[in-house]
Order: sequence, then C-alpha cells, then structure tokens
Amino acid sequence: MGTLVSLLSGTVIVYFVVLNLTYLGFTLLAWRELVRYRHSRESSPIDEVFRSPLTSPVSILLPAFNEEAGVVDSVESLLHLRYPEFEVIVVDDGSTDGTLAALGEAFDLVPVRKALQTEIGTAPVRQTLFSRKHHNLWVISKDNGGKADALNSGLNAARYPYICAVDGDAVLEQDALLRVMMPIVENPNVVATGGIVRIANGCQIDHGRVTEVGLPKSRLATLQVVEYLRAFLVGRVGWSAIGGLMIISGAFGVFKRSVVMEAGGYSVRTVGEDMELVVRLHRHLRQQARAYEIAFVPDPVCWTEVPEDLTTLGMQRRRWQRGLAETLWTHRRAIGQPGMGSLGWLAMPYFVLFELLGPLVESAGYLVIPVAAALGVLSAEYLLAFLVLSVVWGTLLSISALALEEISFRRHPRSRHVVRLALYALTDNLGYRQLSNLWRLRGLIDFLAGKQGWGVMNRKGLNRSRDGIPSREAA
Amino acid sequence: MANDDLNLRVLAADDDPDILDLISYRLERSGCEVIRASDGEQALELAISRQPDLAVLDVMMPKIDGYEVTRRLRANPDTAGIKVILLTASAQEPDVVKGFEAGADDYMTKPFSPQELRLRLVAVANRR
Amino acid sequence: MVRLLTFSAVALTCVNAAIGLWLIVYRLVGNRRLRTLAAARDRLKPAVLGWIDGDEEPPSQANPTDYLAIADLLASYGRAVRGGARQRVADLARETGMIERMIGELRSRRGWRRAVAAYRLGDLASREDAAQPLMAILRDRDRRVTAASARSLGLLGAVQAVEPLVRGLASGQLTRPVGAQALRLLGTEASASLANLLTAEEEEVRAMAAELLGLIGNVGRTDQLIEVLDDPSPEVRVRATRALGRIGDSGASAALQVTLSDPVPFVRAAAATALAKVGHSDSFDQLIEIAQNDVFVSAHAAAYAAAYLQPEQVELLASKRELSIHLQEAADLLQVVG
Repeated sequence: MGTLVSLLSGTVIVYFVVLNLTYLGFTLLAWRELVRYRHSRESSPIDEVFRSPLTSPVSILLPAFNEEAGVVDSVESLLHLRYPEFEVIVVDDGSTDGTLAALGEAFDLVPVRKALQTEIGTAPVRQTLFSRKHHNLWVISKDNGGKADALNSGLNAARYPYICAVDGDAVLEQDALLRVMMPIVENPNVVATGGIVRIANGCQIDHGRVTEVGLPKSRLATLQVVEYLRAFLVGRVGWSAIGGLMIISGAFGVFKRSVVMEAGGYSVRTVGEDMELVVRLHRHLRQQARAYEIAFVPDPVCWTEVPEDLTTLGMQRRRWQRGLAETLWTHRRAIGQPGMGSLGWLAMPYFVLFELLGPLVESAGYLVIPVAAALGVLSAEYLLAFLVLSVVWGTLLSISALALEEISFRRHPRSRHVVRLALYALTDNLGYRQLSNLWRLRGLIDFLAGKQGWGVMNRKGLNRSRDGIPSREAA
Repeated sequence: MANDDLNLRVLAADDDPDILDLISYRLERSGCEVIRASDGEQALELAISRQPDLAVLDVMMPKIDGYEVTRRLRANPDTAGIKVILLTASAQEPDVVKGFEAGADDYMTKPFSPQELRLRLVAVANRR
Repeated sequence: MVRLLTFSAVALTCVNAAIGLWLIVYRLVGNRRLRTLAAARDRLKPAVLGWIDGDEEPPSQANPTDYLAIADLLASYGRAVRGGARQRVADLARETGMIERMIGELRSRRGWRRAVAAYRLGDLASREDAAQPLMAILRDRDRRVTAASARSLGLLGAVQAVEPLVRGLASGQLTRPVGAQALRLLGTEASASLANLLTAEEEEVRAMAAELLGLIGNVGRTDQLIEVLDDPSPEVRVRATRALGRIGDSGASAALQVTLSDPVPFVRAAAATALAKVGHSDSFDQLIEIAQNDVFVSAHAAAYAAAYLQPEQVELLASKRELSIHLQEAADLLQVVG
C-alpha cells in the first residue's frame, strides 16, 4: 500500500512540475510574441489594406436561433464593420420565436432564389431572403439542425474566398475583421485566423461597440477575466508561435472557404465544433503535405458575455471539456502520427495529458497526497511546502498574464481595475481552480458515459459559442 | 490663406479628432462657426438643435454612418435644407454613387486638402 | 528537499511581488507620461495647425516633450491631408530635424524600428527628402520594413520606385495589397514599366503586372493585356481577364468572348464578369448557355453577367423556360434591385 501511494503521489508531483514548467515556457514565448506584435502595430498598413481593391472579400456567417431580442443589433453592427468588401449571411436555424420576422422588418427582406453549393449536406433550407436595404445581406431560413449545421448552410451560400464565423452575442471592434485578416493579407498560405476574446460583462456597450472597458461587478465574472487573459494572451499566442494552435474561437474566426469545404465543413456530431474543425484542417492539410499556417492575432477583436452564476458556468465548462474529449477522441490517430508535425508530437499529446486528464490527476492528487502524508510516505512539511509552492506558482502565472496585457494592450484604462485584477489573480488558486476542475471532471465523465448533444438544451440551443478554453491555465 | 468672412454655420462630424481639428481650424479662420460631432448620432442631434447651413460628414462613423445621417437629414423637413459634403477614405465608384443617392451635395476623399474643402464649401453653399 | 521547496516558494513570492510592484510603477509612470504628452499636444496644437494653414511662425519647442508632441501632431495631420497643407507638414518636419532623425533610424539594427521609421516618413516627409532612402530599404529582409517602405513610397508619389516595387511584389517579398496600393497611387507612370513585365519569364511577375495594370486602369494597355489572354498559365490569364474588366475598354470584348471557352472554370467565370463590365451584349447567348450548363463558379458568374447586360431578356426567359438556379437567382435579384 505504501509503495502504491508513494508511486501515485510521486506521479502527481512530477506531473505538476512538468505542467508548470510548460506554462512558464508558454509565458516566455508569449511575451516575445506580444512585444513583437505591439511593435508591428506601429507600422501596420491597415489603412492601405482597407483602401485596396486587392484585399480579399469575406463572407460573414451568423448562425441564429431564437434571438429575436438581439439579432437585429448584431447584424447592424456587422454591417458597419470597417472592411472594403464583404457580405453578411444570417442563418436562421429554425427559430421558433420572432427572429425571422424581426430581421424581415428591420432589413426589408424579400424572398429570392439563391444558388447554394451542395457538397455539404444540411437540414433542409426553407427560404433564402435578400435585403433590399443592404445589398450585401442575405438571410437563410432553414430547419433546425444545430450551430454546426447552420454554419455549413452558410458555407454553402457564401460566395467569397474567406468566411468569418461569428456568434450572435459577440460584440466586435470596428476594425476587427481588418485586423484578423492581416495575417492572410501578408501570407496567402494562412488558412485560418482568430483573435483575442475579451469579457464584455461590466463594459459599456453602445450601438454594438464597446465604448468603455470596465470590470464586472460579479466576482465570478472577474475571476473569468483573469482566466481568459491567461488562456488567450499566454495560451493561444504561445501555441500559435509554435504552429500548434488547435482552436479558433467560434465567437469570431476567419477561414479559407475552399479548404473548409474540402475538409467537409463543420461536424454536427460534436459540441466542440470550433476546435474539431481546426484540428481536422491541420490533419487534412498535413496529410496532403501542403504548406499552410493557422495564425492568431494577439489583438482584442471580440467581446462576449460570460456566465455570472455557478450553475450556468458549471454547465458551460462541463460542455467544453466534453467537446475537448470528443475532438481528441475523433482525431486520436493523429497523436504521434508521423507527418503530423507539431500537432502530432506536441499539441495533441499535451492536450490529452494536461488539458483532458488534468482534472483527473489534480483531483486524484487532492485525495492521494493527504493519504500519503497520513501514511508518512510524505512528510507534512514536504506537503505543506509543496502546496504553498503550487499556490504561489499559480499566482505567478496569473500575474504574468496581467503584466503581458499591460505591456501589450492596456485595455483596462483604470488603474484600480488593474489592482482588482491583481488581487483576483492572487486568489484564484484558492477555490476557483478546484471548482473548475470538478466541472471539467464531470465533463470528462459525461464523455465517457457517452453523453450526446447539448444536454438540457439539446441541439436546438446555439447558445454562446464555446470559445474553446479547455483549461483555466494556458490553453 | 484667405481669412475671409464666410459667415456660415458648419457642422463637422468625424470620429477622428485630428480631422475635426483640421476642418475646424480652417473653417473658423474663414469666419465660419464650427460645431463638432464625433459620431453620427451626435451629428443628427446637433443638426436638429443648432440648424447649421452646411454639414461636413465622415462616412465611416460609429453609431450612425455618414450615408444614413444624410438620408435622415433629407427626410426631416427641418433639416432637409442643410447642404452636405461627405468625406470618405475610399474613392471606389459604388461609394460615390451611394453618397449622391443618399442626398449628398458633394464628396471629398481623404486625405483631403483643407483649402479645397473651403472652396467646395463655398461652391455648395452658393448653390440654390 | 523541503528546504528546496520552501526556498523556491519564497523566491517565487518575491518574484510575484516584484511583478506586482512593476505593474503599479509601469502604470503610474506610463499614465504620467501620457498626461504630460497630452498636455503638450493640446498646448501646441494651435501653433501646429496655424503653421499647416500657412502661418510664418513655426511652433516653438521648449523641451523634448514638446518635440515629441509636435512630431505626433505632424504625423497625425500629415496622414490626413494632401496638397499645400501636406507640403507644410513636410517643411516643418524637415526644419525641426525630424526627417533626418527618421532617415537615420532606417539603419537601425532592429527591424521594427526601421519599419516604424519607414512608416512615419510616409506621413511626414516629402518625396525629395525621403524617396531615395526609402527605396534603399525596399529589399530589407524584414517584411514589415518592406511593407512600410512601399506604403510610404506610394504616399509620397515616388515614381522612381515603380520597378523595384513590381519586382518586390512578384518575388513575394512585398505584401500584395500594400504594394498594389502603392503602385495605384503612382498611377500612369507605373503602367509603362508594368506593360514591359507582361512578357517576363516568371509566371508570378506576369500575373502581378497584369493585375496591377487593371487597377491603374490605363486604356492604352488594353491591346497588350489582350495578348496575355493566351498565356500558358491560368493564373496569368485570369488576372489579365479581370484587368480588362476593370479597365472597361469595349475593344476587348471580342477577345473576352473567346476566353469564355477557356478550359479552366475560374478563367471562364472571370471572362463572364469582365464582359459585363465591358458592356458588350454580343456574348449574351453564350453567357446564357454557360449559366445553364457549366459548373457552379462559371455558371454563377455568367448568370449575373447576363442579367447585368440584358436584364429584360433575362426576365423574359425567366417566364418561359426552365432556368438553372443561377439564372433564377439573377432574375429574382433583378426584380428586387432593378
């Protein structure tokens, strides 16, 4: 018994050391990238790209389900994006409320027949409508099929070389599309890009734009602000720097249409369709040995609301973990597969080991370590020192993320916000982390139990896009 | 630099404060009274409350863009007589057409010449 | 072991505290710097605006902050104006030594510094002062630098930069939209050099030249572009086709009609769109045929083209025979948009 416990606790400890060292690595990597990006911004020819007729046009896809309250505002804000040429395709996924009517009235929609590609099957399309008011706005009304299905329908209707998938409740910066397209403009090999997603709770939003950045009053939401900073500023930036970015947020992401269609469009069989698509794109392009890149733009482009109550947040995290598991399971063959590059030998093993199984190991640790101490396998001082160290380390990572944000974007103008965030950074290891682990553990169990769909809300709910933060640490 | 007395009340709207500076300075020096707005909504409110003779509007503005402001000015009998010059960053043909269809009287591209703006303003103001 | 852990914990706590402290100091210092700069900016604004408007008296700089504020104001205003006002910006930038300083920065070891200097020269300098040094760094190994340099050369109207710009674009060193935009600004001077490159050996060079000629829009180049419609490379053919559409010379319609039978679908599609822009209706029947029977991309383009050229005919057809979905879409849109 003693040796077993000793072995287990040894494993847990080694696991943690390795994990935290990698986080440190990501932080340093991210620091380098962010400094580089900040300098690039000072000479970024964004106005020229806006004025150039050679800038590739984009089809913006907006899936909508039962969003009569906010859909008109969302569409308006999309139509006012600063970008030379684009179309907006709203896909009404069989809403049972007044979404379609609201759109029809606000935008003077008329039924018009539209040629749709048929490569990717979707739930039947009922009607295609065109706006007399804005000639670059189309609405597709179809039978309900879920978010992935709606996006596929949008793909079939899009006529430009690039598509931009957005969430209805995402609030975009006016230059968002321009900024996110810059890597593609600079390098036509880039097939997908995404940007930083920030938390809108506590911010002033007017006419579809964030006019003042604030911190949420809710403690839970503020904890998530720190979490998102770590996940995006450190995680995404870091992975992107080594070519292993596996997620582009469903709230706002740009893809090359032809490649997505070749790969088969979005998968309707998973709740993590945004991550699943990116991984599939990696595999598809690597299998064909084609030169490509998936880039991350370290610019805040998009703001979303996060849950402020434990129940909703818990459900969201459970679902994300399940989506992660589904994606990793679907593409398990890529792990360690030759020809898969950093995806196969670095990114996927990492995600399996640390993101997927992380909650399991950590929870086991909470059980095993005290037992080990009780049995005398580990001395109490050792245990205490280790605990303190891990808390301090966690704090280090959080506060580094804050520092990174400070040198790069300064989107939190008030100093007292930074102080508040710093305090939360210090304490999020005590309670929030453990809670998050429990939710994720349940998500893992859900997957193993074969749970399908969106649970209570079933596949009808499009909900908030999972922006794919598999872990609260560096994703 | 003709510092003449134009005696016009002009509404200038642009979300870029530097552009507003340039426009205001040149026009005020020419004797105009310049009212500044930084977005479309503010521009409309000020147009209704201050009744300018002319409006110089940026096309890409937050809240309500320049085309829409022009349309609403034309639609409202109180403001239909305000002459409108649109300022835009792109000179692509569909945008020019869109501007005139919305009811603008003239159109200038950015980067712009403040002197030229003054001349166009005078020309447009003198039109009946 | 415990000692090691404890030591690490203490060390890390110090690091945390240090970072926290740094955050506060950085923020405070940064804020103060921003405030002084903003104040200087506000104070000097009237003088700078007056200078741009033609006043004799340049703004006075009492200290380094003033210098920075004036540089900042000049760069912002320089980006917004052209003509006489822009000339005044360049004059002041030269007089205060800003141009010289930035040209010096072009030799910095750090790529981003070179890029920022190159970028700012486009907003502040005059062609006489900066064209030469900017051209010298068009071959820089850092893409940000070449892009910034190209942008500035375009803004300054440096026609002597046309050839190196085109070569940079063709070799892929220069970002396409930025280089193309610069060449557009350089206008007709560029078109002679570009026309020569239509017969270059490299496919990418020919394609780039064709595309840019379309953007510059010089009608005199139509014949040369028509010859390129027979190029062995489909990429060159499609860009020449698009270019002819952009230029809009009806003299190209016969050649474009032939291109409707190109073996490659996206070339056929481009030919259809170009024919609509060129405004020639002789190809109507052929367009209808393509819209009915061809693959998605060409059928779609042909349907729209046909509807654009002869809307009444398309509406008439819509009531008679069984149309492909592309023509149905085009006909419906005609009804709606007119």
